[in-house]
Amino acid sequence: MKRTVYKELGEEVWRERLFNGLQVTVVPKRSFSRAYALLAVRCGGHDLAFSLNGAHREVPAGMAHFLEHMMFYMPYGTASDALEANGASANAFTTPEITGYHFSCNERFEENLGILLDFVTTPFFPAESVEKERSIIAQEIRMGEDDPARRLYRNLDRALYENPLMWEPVAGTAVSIAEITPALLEEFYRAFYSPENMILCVSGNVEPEAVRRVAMEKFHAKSAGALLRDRGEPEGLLPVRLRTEETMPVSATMFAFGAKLPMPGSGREQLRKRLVGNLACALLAGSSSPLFERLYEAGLVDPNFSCGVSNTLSGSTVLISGESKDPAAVMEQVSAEAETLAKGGGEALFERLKRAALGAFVRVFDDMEGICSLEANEYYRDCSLFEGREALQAVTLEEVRAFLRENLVLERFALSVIRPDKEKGE
Amino acid sequence: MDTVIKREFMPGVTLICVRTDQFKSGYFSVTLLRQLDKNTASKDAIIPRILRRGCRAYPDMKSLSARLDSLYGAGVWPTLRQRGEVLCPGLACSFVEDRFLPARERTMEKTVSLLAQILLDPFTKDGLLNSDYVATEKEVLLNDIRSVVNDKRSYAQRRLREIMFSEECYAAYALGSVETASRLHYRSLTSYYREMLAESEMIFFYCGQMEAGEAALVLREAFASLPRGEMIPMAETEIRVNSGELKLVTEEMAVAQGNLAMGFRLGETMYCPDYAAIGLFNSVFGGSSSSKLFRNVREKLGLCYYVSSSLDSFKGIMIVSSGIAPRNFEAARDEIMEQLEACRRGEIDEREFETARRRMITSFRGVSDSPDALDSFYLTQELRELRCDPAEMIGLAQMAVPEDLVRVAESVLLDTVYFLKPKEGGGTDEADGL
Repeated sequence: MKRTVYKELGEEVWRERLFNGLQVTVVPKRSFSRAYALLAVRCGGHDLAFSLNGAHREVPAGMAHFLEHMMFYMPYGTASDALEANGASANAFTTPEITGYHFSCNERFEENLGILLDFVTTPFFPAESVEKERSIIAQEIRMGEDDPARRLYRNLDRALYENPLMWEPVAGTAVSIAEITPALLEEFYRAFYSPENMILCVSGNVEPEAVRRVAMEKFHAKSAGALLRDRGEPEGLLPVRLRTEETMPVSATMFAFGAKLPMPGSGREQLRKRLVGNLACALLAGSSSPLFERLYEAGLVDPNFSCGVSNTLSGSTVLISGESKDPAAVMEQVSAEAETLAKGGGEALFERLKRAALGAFVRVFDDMEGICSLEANEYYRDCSLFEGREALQAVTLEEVRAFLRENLVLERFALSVIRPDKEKGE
Repeated sequence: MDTVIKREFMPGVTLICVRTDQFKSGYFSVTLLRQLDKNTASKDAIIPRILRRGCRAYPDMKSLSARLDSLYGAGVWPTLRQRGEVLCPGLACSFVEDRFLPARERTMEKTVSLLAQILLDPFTKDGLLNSDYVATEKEVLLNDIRSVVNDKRSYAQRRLREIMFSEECYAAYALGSVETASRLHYRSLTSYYREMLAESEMIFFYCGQMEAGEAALVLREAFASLPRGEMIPMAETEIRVNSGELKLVTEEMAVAQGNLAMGFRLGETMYCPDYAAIGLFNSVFGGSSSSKLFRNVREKLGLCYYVSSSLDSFKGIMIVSSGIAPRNFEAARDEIMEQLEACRRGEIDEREFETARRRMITSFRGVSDSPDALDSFYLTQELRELRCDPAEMIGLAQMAVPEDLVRVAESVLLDTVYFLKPKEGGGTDEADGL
């Protein structure tokens, strides 16, 4: 394996693309008691249309997530029981772009890693288990429907994007998951779970060579051929609708507004663009910004007010959210402040924010889960988390101002609001 | 990792120092031990939030944030934890250790000193807490209290507690109620703050690269002006081992999913609690994804997406919570009781027991992997009569046998069942039949 040392960070990374096609990345932390492993498959809620070896295919919403549930079934029982019995705590998640399977433990790491790699590369979908998971997932979807934050963001995406992929819930709907069959799961699995679509990230008290050895033995996915993801046509930067509103049993009015951003591309450039976006958001409305103080003191926002860039492989959004009695006023003040900052000022704050961002970057490396999930995300953007320090140092105030000038403009915003329903709201 | 505990570091203050080079950031917290009470919870909860708004040297958010940013993004934040009926408000901070910064910044000394100033030297006018800060934090607190309804699972558990503990302090929410929060006033809060600071027992917790002796010097200097008056007796938790008549409450709301919450008392096992056995029982019964509840209610019967049990071992209670379709209410409730019966009958096999034991050992070993987890672990231990370190807890788990769990199961009593169900016509039950 190739070892790279990051001296200032006190970290080292071991990397290798194995000849079976799997990318293996290990960040050893020998003073920790635990080790954490994440197998991240590039297959998520947005993967609903694709072509495999030239043949076009569409699948029902919720496919990747349903598959995540089903992967744990093995001829010997369930993989989560096997891992738990071995002292590991295991779980999985599905995002719009990634399905992640992970565990952590402080003994028998190699055995547990073997179980993980084995179950993620063993399709086993008995019909009765598929039926049972369908009823479980139906309850999971129901729970999501009662989650006001999820509704809020989904409504915002509907207002911003033409592409339905952007607002399809990752878990699908009761109607869409009804169409999922064992044969469809199998076909979808074959298309997406191939070695070039996966990365194994490990951090913690492990020997990199041991990780490599297990990955050579236990990983048995095969490439299915040329996969092309159909993520829809690129769209313009103006929102589809300016405003969307819904009522739910919530305690206070919640809002989220934002704008579509140009796609950041890949490699170091996209990392830099994301950092520019996040620094711009901190300068504009972060907890040390003058605007935040004004809004907070006027009682227009609460401590949960946040501003940042959210980024998936199919779309990138600048997002401002919180609770407020007057979301429209917040939106106006944000865009007015962006206009002012784009013209000048904020030098001292910018320098301090860069210092703070550097501190935050260093601190990521105390968290094994954070290291692995961030590294997997960067990997699928042809970049690495470890380039963050240099990329951050290179960001200039001019770029940040340009970001504000170009993107935080009122006509680009859509606003999503959830109001308390009258009956319940006090 | 080297742990030093100094009781009476200052009058009524215990200092816990964990020296380690494992982390890139250092951590320090101050925790006050208060009695949970419905009349004072709002005050205990809001004081750290008000203090965090500004101190004499950095009187507003802008100057305070600027100071933290220039300390490489150090953080100081208000905390509020709960152990049984002991409410634990406080402040915590974390900072990048000097060895990862371009120059020797003394981030530990500077951040700890800032936290001490925030706690001890607030921004006041005529000796009173700033009325504007109190007013905005009061609104934020009220909003937080009301927002329990946003998460239906927590809301169902909150309602369960209100009903189950209607005659105990434990019914109080850590943030207090809309009623008590509405009455907060800067004048009375100022005197409350002064008393609270002078009379509360406190725990200082430090984790970082500094030796305990050196850290103690830094802390003595930073907290030199900590007022120490007459200490009120240690806060404690009332335990009731009996449950009265079974309480059943169903309420309706415009939601898609039903939420079931069942409250149990751990019963006579609390006379002499064996925390390892109680924890292991919970793990086998409903505390993990290989538990009886998860495997039967979810995996075998497919009745729900989540079902789990959680403990408050200080109060001696267990709460089972599950999100279900309303038509499955009886089936889910009966299966949950059936799994408890199975534990009582001694149907805990080797594999279930060993899985739970491993899980517990893993979690105690994992405590050393994060300053937060260490802080939380030692807070729990300080409030118990018999204190252990993680290695001793592991030893207790290793000595436990399945019969210990059966005894806990036999002692457990169902007290209250609460069901939050979708409003007639509002729910979409038919869609489940797919």
